[in-house]
Amino acid sequence: MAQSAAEARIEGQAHVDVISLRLAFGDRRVFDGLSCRFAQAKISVILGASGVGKSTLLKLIAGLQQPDYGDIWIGQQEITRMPERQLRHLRRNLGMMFQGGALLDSLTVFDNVALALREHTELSEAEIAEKVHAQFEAVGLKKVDALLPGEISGGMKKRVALARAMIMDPEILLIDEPFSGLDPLAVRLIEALLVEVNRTKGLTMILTNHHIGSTMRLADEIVFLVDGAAVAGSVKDIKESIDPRIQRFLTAAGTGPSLEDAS
Amino acid sequence: MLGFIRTVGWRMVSIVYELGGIAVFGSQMVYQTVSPPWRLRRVIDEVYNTGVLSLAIVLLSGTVVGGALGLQGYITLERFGAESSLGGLVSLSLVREFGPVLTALLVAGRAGSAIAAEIGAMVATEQLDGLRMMSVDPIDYVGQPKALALTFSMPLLSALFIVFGLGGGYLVGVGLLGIDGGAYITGVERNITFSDEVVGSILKSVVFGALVALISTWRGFSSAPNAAGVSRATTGAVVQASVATLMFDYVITALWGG
Repeated sequence: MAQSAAEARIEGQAHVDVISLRLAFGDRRVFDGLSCRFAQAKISVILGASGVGKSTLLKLIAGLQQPDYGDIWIGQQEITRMPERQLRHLRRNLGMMFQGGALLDSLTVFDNVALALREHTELSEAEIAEKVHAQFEAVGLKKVDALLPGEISGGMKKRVALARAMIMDPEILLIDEPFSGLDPLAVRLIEALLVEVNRTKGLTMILTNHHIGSTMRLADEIVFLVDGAAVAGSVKDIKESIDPRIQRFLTAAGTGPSLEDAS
Repeated sequence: MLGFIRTVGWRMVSIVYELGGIAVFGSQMVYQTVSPPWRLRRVIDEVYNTGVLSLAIVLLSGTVVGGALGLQGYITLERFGAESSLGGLVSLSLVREFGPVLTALLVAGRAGSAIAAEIGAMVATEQLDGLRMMSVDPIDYVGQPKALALTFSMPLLSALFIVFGLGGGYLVGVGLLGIDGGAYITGVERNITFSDEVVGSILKSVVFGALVALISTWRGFSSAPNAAGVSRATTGAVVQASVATLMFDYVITALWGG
């Protein structure tokens, strides 16, 4: 499987390839042969209704979960059967911003962002401080060093989480629901921030989102998850899709799946 | 009948699965402890959380248990006219049994539950996944310092429990019941030898410390990522650590020579 999948990949085009993924939680099948690819240096948005497996797909790409079947390629490396020690090495090129921030409660905001630098580099404390403050500036944060995660707002947490995800200059940034729980102004600020980071650093960004508006503004490509599989295309492709499942989601955005759909 | 067999069989499989999980987790913990980086600063912080913050409950309990032993021992020894042996009875009971065991049970309730709840909450809020995404091993960064600190703190807390217990016994025996103070202290000195009682007591408390630490951290790491999971991890840690402590106490006591 891995060999044929490798042969099937087109070199240099996709940064992340997901091939024939299957995953079930008990009797509930989440992915049933899902295949999709995420292009290098583009913003790809994984779109879909709540509970369709957007965050799970992101965790699979990060190697935080293993699928029942299928391959995930990051660059030239297949990661689904990779031991944790090798994954730890691979993740130095991956940054992830979690939906709730996932900041360590016991550490200050500064220490949260500095942690990876202290663990994996030989930088002095002064150099670390310089890098962390540069990152804070990039995400629009000021005077937050000594604050604990419990003392800052949800929007600020997302920015700190973004700063932490980018501090090691990763090649791929995985972002889980960056706009959930934010007011419209904060949504626009984070959107602008993500676009700027993508354009200036050339990062491959993979976001999950269920907000149509922000997806249409941000995305270079959209991967629409439905019925355990993926429908991918540009924003225009998805908007003009005649697939009734996509149209139903786009026109009824925000209402979520019915009980019938969920069953 | 078939249903009963199936239930028992499934339960046995679950227990074996759980024990296997703990064994693998324990070996990872040992590996992290003996390999760099050594997180001395984090271990010291955790000694404060697990050891220093458990001091009040351990000292108070030690004094009260020592007092109760003094009272109970006096009532029993008086029947045989051997009240002057109270020091020996209290000290042997505390050093060989009550000190290490009760300290472990108290620490399991105070620090073990806190460790399981904290790590469980970190699982529920994806903080451990956050660490993994920073290429930091959560067992190394979170689990190992807590486990090491608890294993280190336990014999110290047990020693303090014993000292305060002896004090409690003295207060009741000498202060309230009128036993000669010199006889009480001589009884302690004569019955407690370093090579046997003290070393055995330290060994017991180190084993109990490692047990409580291992079970508490394991329950935290294996908790379901929700509020109910954290709750189950916390109660499970206390119950399992307490039962394991009592079972190992019997085994060590039997090996120790009764």
